[in-house]
Amino acid sequence: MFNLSKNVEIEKVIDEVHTTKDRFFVFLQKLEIRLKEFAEEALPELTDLNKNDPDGNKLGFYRMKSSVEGQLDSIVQKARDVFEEKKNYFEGKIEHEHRSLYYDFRNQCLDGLQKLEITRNYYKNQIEGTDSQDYEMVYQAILEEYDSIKNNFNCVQCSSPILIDKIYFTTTYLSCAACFTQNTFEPSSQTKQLEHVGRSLAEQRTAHLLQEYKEQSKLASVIFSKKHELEMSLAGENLKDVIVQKTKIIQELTAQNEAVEKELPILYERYLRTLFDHWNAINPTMKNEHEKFYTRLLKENYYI
Amino acid sequence: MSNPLLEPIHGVSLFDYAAVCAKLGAGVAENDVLSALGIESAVYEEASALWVARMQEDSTWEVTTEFGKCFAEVENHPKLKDLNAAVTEDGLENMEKLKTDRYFYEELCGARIAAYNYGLDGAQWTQDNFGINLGDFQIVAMQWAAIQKSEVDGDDFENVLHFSNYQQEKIKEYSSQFASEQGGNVSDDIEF
Repeated sequence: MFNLSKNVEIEKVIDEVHTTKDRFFVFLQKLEIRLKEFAEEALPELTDLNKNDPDGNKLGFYRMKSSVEGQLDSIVQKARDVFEEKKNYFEGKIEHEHRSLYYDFRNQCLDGLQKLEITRNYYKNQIEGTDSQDYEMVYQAILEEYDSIKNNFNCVQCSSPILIDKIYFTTTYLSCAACFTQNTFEPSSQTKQLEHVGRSLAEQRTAHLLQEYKEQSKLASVIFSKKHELEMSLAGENLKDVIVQKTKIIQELTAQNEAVEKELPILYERYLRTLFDHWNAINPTMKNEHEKFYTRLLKENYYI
Repeated sequence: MSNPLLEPIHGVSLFDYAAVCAKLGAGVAENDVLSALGIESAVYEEASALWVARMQEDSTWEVTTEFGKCFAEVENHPKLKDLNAAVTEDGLENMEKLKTDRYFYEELCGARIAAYNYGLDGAQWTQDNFGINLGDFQIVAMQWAAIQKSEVDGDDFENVLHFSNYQQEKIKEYSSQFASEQGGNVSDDIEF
């Protein structure tokens, strides 16, 4: 009698677990559909606002971006809250001898939740992509501004023209050649951003080289994993032919891996050198400091 | 001073530079800050660019770490400590509370995060509701960060976790408040 009632109880719990799991997956599906709809609608709006935000610092754009990201997180959080609640409920309810029922429930629901998180992360990346700035245009504006002011600065004392001989990105003292008075030249707020704009522009111009380096790194890691997997499989292998065949492939992969690894620092240095050449050309005043930064990065990233 | 990267630039020490950054962030006018420090903008702007470059050059992170410490110590800067932007009485009271009450600090951190998540300017929201500006908030944040680091270093993870959980609770609480002010979240109609 006792066992019978216990069996009935277990059947009820099993049924409750299955029902809850099914409901959870329907719930996840609805949330995923809503997440996609919401993100797809927000993306063109963000792209448009990024281009046309009347605020120079794009504050409106950043507020909207942050809000969209917050909503995507709130959808995932809603799913997570339900998951945690149900997980805790069954954790306390399912006895030790039926623990696999609990673990299966937890793992399957967690997989579903992670799928929703992957979708959220995909859209977050898309949203991040709307935050773009054309630094070529910003730099062009700085160059044009320099052209318009370089011959229009006059001494405060004797009014003689003082040539602005280069783009100064900080307030600078300039001596008058006629009366030797020291004049203070203050660049515009736009030009004061030259150092920052220069780095961002150099990064934009060399993004393809960084990508090439990253792809080569990924390739090195894929080859290494394949090689490692084969090496591990040799441990339990008894057939001589298979051992010979696998060993041959391992040797080939080792050679490939060495070739790819050898290429990596060359690609990284090419990317970094080109980036710093661009940055130096844009803001030559800081060339010495840039070069020290270059040396540091080269040293630190070779073997990452 | 053993690290040459910590030497002053054109007479502007790292403490001066960090204190200027802190005061500008707290809304004090640049002219007032530089005048109190006794330097002209031409000197400061070049020194500022070079301090940034030193941080980039420094592979030990010592310059950046020291900058953070100096930033949090702005109240002890001999020339800039008494220079403040106009703050309301409530703001002053809340600032004092922010410095001494960890729960209040964690609550405002949570509120700011929630505000940004709902498309509000979190810094402006803190200014509007508590009279604390972004720069002053950051200074206090550095002080609490140092305390939290000492907790981690001393293996006091229980306390770290306690305040982290408290902040999470506050994020949820303020998120509900902002969501309700904005008519709810996009998935409110989807129920389990």
